[in-house]
Order: sequence, then C-alpha cells, then structure tokens
Amino acid sequence: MSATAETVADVERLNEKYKYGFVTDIEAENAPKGLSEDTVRFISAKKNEPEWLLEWRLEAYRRWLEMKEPDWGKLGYPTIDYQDAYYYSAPKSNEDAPESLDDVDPELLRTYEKLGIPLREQEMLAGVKNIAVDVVFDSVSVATTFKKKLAEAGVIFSSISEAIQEHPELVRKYMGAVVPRDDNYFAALNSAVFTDGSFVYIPKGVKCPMELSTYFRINAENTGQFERTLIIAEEGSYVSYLEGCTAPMRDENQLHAAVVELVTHTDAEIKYSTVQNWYPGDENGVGGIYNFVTKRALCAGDRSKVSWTQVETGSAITWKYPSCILQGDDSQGEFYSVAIANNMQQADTGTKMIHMGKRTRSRIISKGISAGKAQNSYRGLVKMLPTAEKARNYTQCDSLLIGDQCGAHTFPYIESQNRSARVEHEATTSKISEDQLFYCRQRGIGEEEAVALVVNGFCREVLQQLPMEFAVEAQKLVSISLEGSVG
Amino acid sequence: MLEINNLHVDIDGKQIINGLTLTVPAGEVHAIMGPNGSGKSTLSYTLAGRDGYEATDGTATLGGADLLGLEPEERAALGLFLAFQYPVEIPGVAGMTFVKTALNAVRTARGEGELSALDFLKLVRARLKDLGIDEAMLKRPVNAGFSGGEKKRNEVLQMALLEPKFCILDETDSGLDIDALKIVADGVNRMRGPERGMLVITHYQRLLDYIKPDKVHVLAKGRIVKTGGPELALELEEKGYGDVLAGLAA
Amino acid sequence: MAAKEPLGLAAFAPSFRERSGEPEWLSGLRRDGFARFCEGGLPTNRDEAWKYTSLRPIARAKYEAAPANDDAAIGDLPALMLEGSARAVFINGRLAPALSDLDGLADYVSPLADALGAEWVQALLGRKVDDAQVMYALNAALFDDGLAIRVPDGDTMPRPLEILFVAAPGERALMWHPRMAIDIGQNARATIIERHIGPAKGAYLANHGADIRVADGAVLTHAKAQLEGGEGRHLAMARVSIGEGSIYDNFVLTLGAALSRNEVATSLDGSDSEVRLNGAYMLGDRQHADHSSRIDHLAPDTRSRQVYSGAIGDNARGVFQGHIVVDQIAQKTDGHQLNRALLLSDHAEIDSKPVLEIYADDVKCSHGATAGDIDDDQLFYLRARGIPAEQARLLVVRGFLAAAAEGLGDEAVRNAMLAELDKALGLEGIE
Repeated sequence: MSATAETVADVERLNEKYKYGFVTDIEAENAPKGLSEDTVRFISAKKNEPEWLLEWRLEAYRRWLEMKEPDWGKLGYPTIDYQDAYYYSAPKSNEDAPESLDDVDPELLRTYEKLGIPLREQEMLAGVKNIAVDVVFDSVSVATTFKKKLAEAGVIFSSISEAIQEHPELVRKYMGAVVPRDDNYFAALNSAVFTDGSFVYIPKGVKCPMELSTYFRINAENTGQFERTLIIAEEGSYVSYLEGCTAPMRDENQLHAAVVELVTHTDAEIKYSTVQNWYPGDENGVGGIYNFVTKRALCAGDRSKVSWTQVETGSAITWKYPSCILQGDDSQGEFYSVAIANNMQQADTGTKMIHMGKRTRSRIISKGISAGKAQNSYRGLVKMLPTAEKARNYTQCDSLLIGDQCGAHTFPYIESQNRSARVEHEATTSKISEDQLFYCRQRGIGEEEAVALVVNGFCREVLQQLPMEFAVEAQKLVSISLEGSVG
Repeated sequence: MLEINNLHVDIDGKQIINGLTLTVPAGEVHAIMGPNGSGKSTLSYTLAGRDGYEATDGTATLGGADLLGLEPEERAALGLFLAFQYPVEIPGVAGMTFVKTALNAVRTARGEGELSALDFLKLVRARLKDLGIDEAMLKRPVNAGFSGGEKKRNEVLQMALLEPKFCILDETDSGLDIDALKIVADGVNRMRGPERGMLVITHYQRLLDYIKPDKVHVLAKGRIVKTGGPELALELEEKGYGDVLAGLAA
Repeated sequence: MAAKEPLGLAAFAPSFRERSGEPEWLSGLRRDGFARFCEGGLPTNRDEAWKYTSLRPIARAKYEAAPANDDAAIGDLPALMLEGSARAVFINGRLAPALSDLDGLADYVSPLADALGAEWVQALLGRKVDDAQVMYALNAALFDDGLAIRVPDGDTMPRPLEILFVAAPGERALMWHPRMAIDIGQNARATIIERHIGPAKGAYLANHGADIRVADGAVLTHAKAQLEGGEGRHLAMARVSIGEGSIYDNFVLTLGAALSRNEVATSLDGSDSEVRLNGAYMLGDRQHADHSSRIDHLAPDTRSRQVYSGAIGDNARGVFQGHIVVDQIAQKTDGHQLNRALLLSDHAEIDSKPVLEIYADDVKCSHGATAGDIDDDQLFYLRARGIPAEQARLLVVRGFLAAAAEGLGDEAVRNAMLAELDKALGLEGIE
C-alpha cells in the first residue's frame, strides 16, 4: 500500500524519458558477424567447453536450420536477418575471472552504478543486503557476489559457463530436459549460441538464505543476448530468483532469445520473478528489443511448486510463455503477469499449464494494458491430461484499453480430458472509466497520476506477488510506461 | 464565497442550465431543491469540471477565483469538494492509499508539504473516530462492495480529511435509511464553520431536518426560480413543486 | 518435391460438373468455390480454424452425390415441432414438395433453383468468402437444391417455417449440400426452425450452407435441432449480416451425427443491433461435435450474447470455438460469451478456444469457459430430498443444458427445443 503512494510521488517526474540511454565505452572482442557452424565452434572454444557440449550445440544448430520461424503470434515485424548480427561479445578486460569486486574493471562497475544497481551499496541496504548479484555484461559473467555465503549453505549460484566447468554432470543431466533443443525455433537458436546465463542448484532440504538475482544489459551494437538459465531445486528446497533487465537506447532492433529451465523435485519450490523493461522502441516504433523467450518449469516431484511472476513493460516485440508441466501429484503452478504495451509495442505472451499429476493446481492471473497504438495479446493453454485426477485450474485474464488506437486480444486454449478436473476461465476487457478518473481528479489527483493509480490498482493482485524490492521498481515502471497515453 | 452568475450549460444540444445566478457566502449552508430533470446534477458536475459539462455562458468563482477555466484537480486544490450521488468503485486501490494520495496532492498544490506517513495516520484515525467509522473500511478498495450508506460515509470522511473551503453535496441522502442519514448529517454538520460554505442539493426535504440550511433555493427549468428561508423547504414538502412551477412563465 | 494432391479431392471431384440453365454469376461462384476447395483440400488439424476438428475421415469415405428422384423409403414424418408451423421437407438434400406444407407461404418460400434469377439471391450468395471457409465454398460448388426465403420490408412471415431434412441413406455412402438464401427485410419478422433427422445406421454427409441477411429493424429467430443418424456427418455454415436495430436470435441443439460442425459467422453491420448465439449439446459414444462461431462488431452500440452448454460422456469429444472481433469503430460494444462443459465419463474430452480481438476501448466484453464434472453439492441436495442418484444426475444435466436456451427470445421455440432435449434425456414432460 505504501509502495503505491511512493510510486505516485515518483510519477511527478512525468517527463522522465527512458533514462538508461547510454553506451559503455569498452572494447569488445566480437565473433565475426553472422551465424554458421564456425560461429558455434568459436563460442564453444571461447568458453573452453567440453566436447559433449560443442556437439550438443552443433546438433541444435543443424536442427535450427531445418526449422521455420513461428508466425502464429499476433506480431508484425520486419524479417530478421540472422546473418546480420554478432553472436558473441565479451569485454576484453575480462580474460581472467575476478575473485571479488575489487578485481572488476572500474569502467564496468561505473556502468552498473549508472544502472542503479551499485553492487557495493546493495551490501549495505537494509533488508536487501542478502541479495547475491550475478551481473552479466553482454555475454560474460563479470562478478558474482556472496558466493561464500551461499557455498556454506551448499547452494550453487554461478554463471552457466562456470557451472559447465565445475558441475558438468548436473548441467548435462538437466539442460535441455525441460526445453528440448528442438522445442521451437528460438530455443534451437539459443541452444546453439547461448553465451551465458545463471545456474542455480539448491541441495536437498535447503531453503536458500537470500534472494538470488541477475541483471542483464545488451551493449555492443547488433549483439543479441542469448542467455540460458537452469535452476534445479532438490527435494524439500526453496529459492526465490529475481530477474530484471535494462538496456541502452539503440536504433537497430536487438534480438533476445533466452531459455529458462526450472526443475522442482519433491516438496521443492521455486519462485521466479521478472521485471522486464528492455528498450521498447521510441514513440514511432523505431528500435527496441525483440524478446523471444522460452521459459518452462517441470514440477517433477510430488507437492512441488513453481510460481512465475512477471511485469513486462519493455521490448518492441515480446513473445514469451512461461509454462509449467505439472507432473508430480499435488504439484502447483502459478502465473502472475502484468504486460504493458504502449506506443508501437507488440506483445504476445501468456502461459501453458499442462496438468499430468493428480490434484495438480494452476492459477493464472494475467493483466494486460494497451495504450497508444500497441497490440497486446494473451495466449494461454490449460491442458488437463487424462491422468489429471481432481486437478484444478483458475484463470483470470483482464485487459485494459487506453485510447482507441490500440488492441487487446485473448487467445486461450482449454483442453480437458479428465472429468474430475475443473477448469475455470474468465476474461474481461474494459477501459479506465471516466467516472473513476473524474472521482480521482475531483479529489485533487492530477490526470496522469489518476491513470497511474487506477492502473496500479488494476495490477495489484500481480504486483503483490513480487518480492518487496521488485514491487517498488515494478510500480514505477507501470506508471512510467504509461506516460503520455492519456489525453 | 461561491458566486455563480448567469450560468448556461447545454448537454447534447439541450439547454439544461439556463441563466442560473446564485451566491453562497462563507459560513452559510444553502440548499437547492428541484424536481427531477431540473439540472441539479448538471450543476454540480459543471462546477466540479467534469468533461462534457462546459458552460456556454456565465461565470462561476470560488473566493474570487475563476472556476470554469480550471481542470477538476485544480478546482479541488482551490478548495472545492463534491460529494457524489453515486460514488464509483476503484478496484485494487485501497481507501487509505486513495485519501493519502488526494490529501498530499492538494497540500502540494497549496504549497504545504506532504504529510509524513505517521502524521497522516494520526489525522486519519482522529477523523475516523469523529465519524465513528471503522479503520477496516479504509483497508478495502475504494467503495468496493460498499452499501449506499457506507459509500456516503466514505464521502464525508474524505471531506473531513481534505478540509475543503466549499462543499457541494449532491443528493447525499439518496439511498439512505434514517440511521445512516443521521450519521452522514452529523458528519456534515461538524464541517460547518465561518470559513466554509456548503451547497446541499436534494430532492426531498427530509435531509434538511438534519442539515438546517440558511437559505433554500428552488431550481427549475435550469434556473433559480424562488429563494427563501428554511420554511420554503417545508412548503415544498407539503405542496410539491407544482405551485412553484405553475407560477413560472413557460 | 511434387505437390501432394489436396486431401479429399478424389472424393469430391467427380461430383463437380457443369450445370446447364444456371445464370453466369452462379457458374462463376461454383467454379470459384471448387477452386478454393482444391487449393487446400479438406481442412485438418493444421488449419487453425479446424484445430480440433479434422475432416480427414471424410476423405476415406468416398461419398457419392445423392441422386434426384430417389424413392427412398422414409417412414412416417415426425410431428411438427411447433404447432401450426409450415413445413418444407427435404429427403437426402432434395426438396420433396409432395411431403411439404407451404400453404400461405407461397410468397415467402420457394425452391432455390426457382429464385436464382432474383437479384437478392445473387447479392446474398455472391458475398465474399473467407479463406478458411472451405466446406462452405464446396457447398457453393456442389449444391443441388435449397430454399430461398424472403420476407419483404415491414412484413411478418405468417407462420413459423420448419425445414425438415430427412436422411435416408442406403447401401452407398451419400452426400448432399443444401443451400439456403434467407432475406428478412426492414422491420420484418420471421421464425425458422431447422430439423435434421436420420436413422441409426447408414453413412452420409450433409454439408449445409446458408446466406442470411437481417435488414434494419428486423428480427429473425433461427433455431436448429440436429438429430442426424449415428453414422452421419453434419457440417453447417451460416453467414449472417445484421443491420441497424435488428436482432438475429440463433439456437442450436446438437444431439446427433458421428461428426458434426455447426458454424455461424455473423457481422453486426448496423448500430444498436444484437446477435444471440446459444447452443446445447449432449454427446455419447464416439461422437465429435464442434460449435464454432464468429461475431464481428462493426458498428457502435452493438450487443452479442452467447451461452453454450455441453454434456459429454462415453468417448465423445466436444469442441467450442468462439471468436469475437470488435472493430475500432464499434465503441460501446457489449459482448459476453459463456461456454461450459460437463465431462460425464473418464474418456470424455472438451476443447475450447474463446477468442477476443478488441480494437475499440469504450467496450464491455467478457468471456468465460468452464469444464468439469457435475457439481457434488447439487447432486447431494437432490438426493437428500429423496431423488435417486441416476435421476438426480439427469436432472442436473438437464438444468445445465436448458440454461443455454434461456437466451432464446421466442418462448414457443424455446419450449420446442427443450422438449426435444427432454425426449433425448428420457425426461419427457418434466416441465
């Protein structure tokens, strides 16, 4: 509640443009432009990967060549020339991995401070001091803090590159198990050229003592971000993971095709939160990130649980469907989403909940807001397999339209093959009513502020799911991303 | 304090307010009564600045400052408060959040600083106590699921918190039973003072038993057609609007 | 790689022939329709519009066009659904005037073949066809018979019209493609009930097409009871344009056919108009029934209401696709859709795809979809009052399905449909 009031106070800076608009001046060692088997080999060699992983990548690449880019989403964009981009970019100053923050290039550290995530200050912030930060600068992990504390608990939190070196057996066992390489076009691409991401392993019975988070940033021109994240929660464990992104202003579209795989064993739980504000393109739709992400959780163990919470306010194009395969009996999947599309943004996002086990439960709360000339679509699948005895799904899909130039669409697929399973799906579409706005304004609240207030109220149920520090940033983002949409 | 001069408002081509002139000095409570369709709600919306309710002629000022050229929130900052006939619901926005935002917005517009969270809470609790309202009501989203009586009390609570210079009560008694009416009237009467003016718009005389007006005006065919003391209200109650309307030129 | 022959081409090509005596516009329409069919062949799961209903089984069946003047024995015709209504009888897709009763409706109803010269028929049939409407295009290419129904401006059709389609399949698998052109003039009124019946055994394909215009201020009640034979396949497509201030009230009761798809595509072209699309279906064995609809709100202040209730048992499968599109100009649209399914057996299945595409902001649109078994609380309440379990289940199912008929404005028609439902449930005379 108090967060909302703070938000509203912040929104007084109404003309705040996308403030993360700058480029780090660091010489990057790129792979030659384009994508071929050689590119894949280059990446693998740069990362000093074992033979099996190179083969794994090459298999994915060959498969990718045979696949077709999906066109069923309600998205329109210029054809992507996959040859016209760099697939590897690393800051030169990072040949040897730093042991602590003191070893990190000061130029890089300044970059992070500008982004508002000063690593040192985080240590001192009350209540947030236990966050470990795995900062990814373009394609290589730069600093990982608090490794020692986590190591004490037996938690492994590192870059995926490191994990490949130090825990190859775990990576080999799980990577591709939840999202197979040929699952879809972008997953295949990612499997071939992924350059980094997070690896998290929570051992049996351990409740991870702090929230883990990762920040990303795309820098070098035309370098796509291909992160691969893998989180494994062993029996009885718990982890809360935060993912938040920022990116600099650019005139050429940048491709982002990430893959996130989560596995929960018996009685384990993963809470995965995302606040995404990649550069959305300017008012005329120029520039902006293309975000094609495959995120999937396998709730393998009985009574395991995965909760996806996302606040998507950025990107020119968003294509992502965080999903749960509810395999274990009594397992649960949740999806809470706020997706805002303004100006010329296009979003086609949603979730898939596949119920296999008995008494599995899923809950989907999706709030979509469209403004400007944007198109915002929810696409979801709820599937009750014949084995899903007494399973339950509840879906609430609400769309808010601001102005008559935008669109809000809902494409739900509901498939049930079990009589004892219950599915309940509801979707509504409306606008902010004149009555609500006038009521606020008569009480002295300015128009833009009133819109922000009503919209945050609309999104409340989702924003409540976020860990505190994210909730504040999220509310700010909601307000800022809607500026100029009314009047 | 509130001065309206020869106001004309037309809605969708129809002249609803047709040369309305009225003055309510500070410290006084005036009542406006009139048959349905006489333009009562139109008057309050026009004064508060709702889109679609623009004056085609005439003036309205509050404490000498022009109202009609201002946005709704600017009029609120000047000290105007409208207690709605049908207060709207705002899902997901807690009542407490709403009033705090409004109060701080108005204070900021007036050059006073925002209240600290603690001071605000103290203020709210004091007002809640005065009005006999449970704090729990403010934890719920604004007006969501409120009964008619609860909504009206919520309006009065906001009035008590925002401390406006001029209050317009738009059919505050509609939908209330006697008990609820007494509580609301009580809250309104507490707000009366030498620095504050009020315009009570009502169809029935009943409310005026509890909120005794200094003057009563009859609004018909878009203008004030008769003005009198409190006894005029009783007369209307007894005889209906027929007589008054009959006496008007067509 | 050589192009694969479109699926089903071999099954339908032999039926496509030049017909003498038809106006040029119709010949052109038929050629276009057949060409469209040949482009993709029978729709399968790969086509988004047919995602849950593949017509692949039809390719194997090799249906033959039902011959004219077939003296198929059909037994006694059932009683009228609505007392006092007129009746047009079709046997295997051909109008049988001897069995029909069109007294008093001579000015309103005629065989389609007799009305092909009329401008209004040409206008209706000639409307642009959507790419996905493959079977509808095929119907244009292959229809032999049908009805032309027209109610002039300001007029009311004197009696409701029941159109009874009787299937009398023989040894060979037969098919027919009846076509209807229905024009309800300004401020006119009409009530049309379709009824499709067939025997338990005998394979056939009925592929219906209907072009409907409800002019400004008119009201058309259009109900349908689909009681096709156990081995029959029933496809139907109705395209409806709805004018200013008018109402199109549609209800379908689906009980028969091994495979069926009932599709309605409507456009609210004039402001202040309303469309009601409601349906109830009950499936068993291996039945597959698909209810697909599309509503385009193309003018401001338009309303749409949809309620579909289905009870699915045995190994049957129900499919619901409800697409609502609100154009940018269609402010103040008020559209609501509800699709509910009861799964009554371990192998029953429901697939549901309610889609909203909204380009205007000042609208109130919603949809809801539910699936599950019968509510235990409801069952218990009935049994606690002494009603045996089996009957309690029937009553609950009946209530569930009957609720879909509440949106149907015409009470007599509603009662007629419910009576048909009760007959199927063994609950005749329940109300």
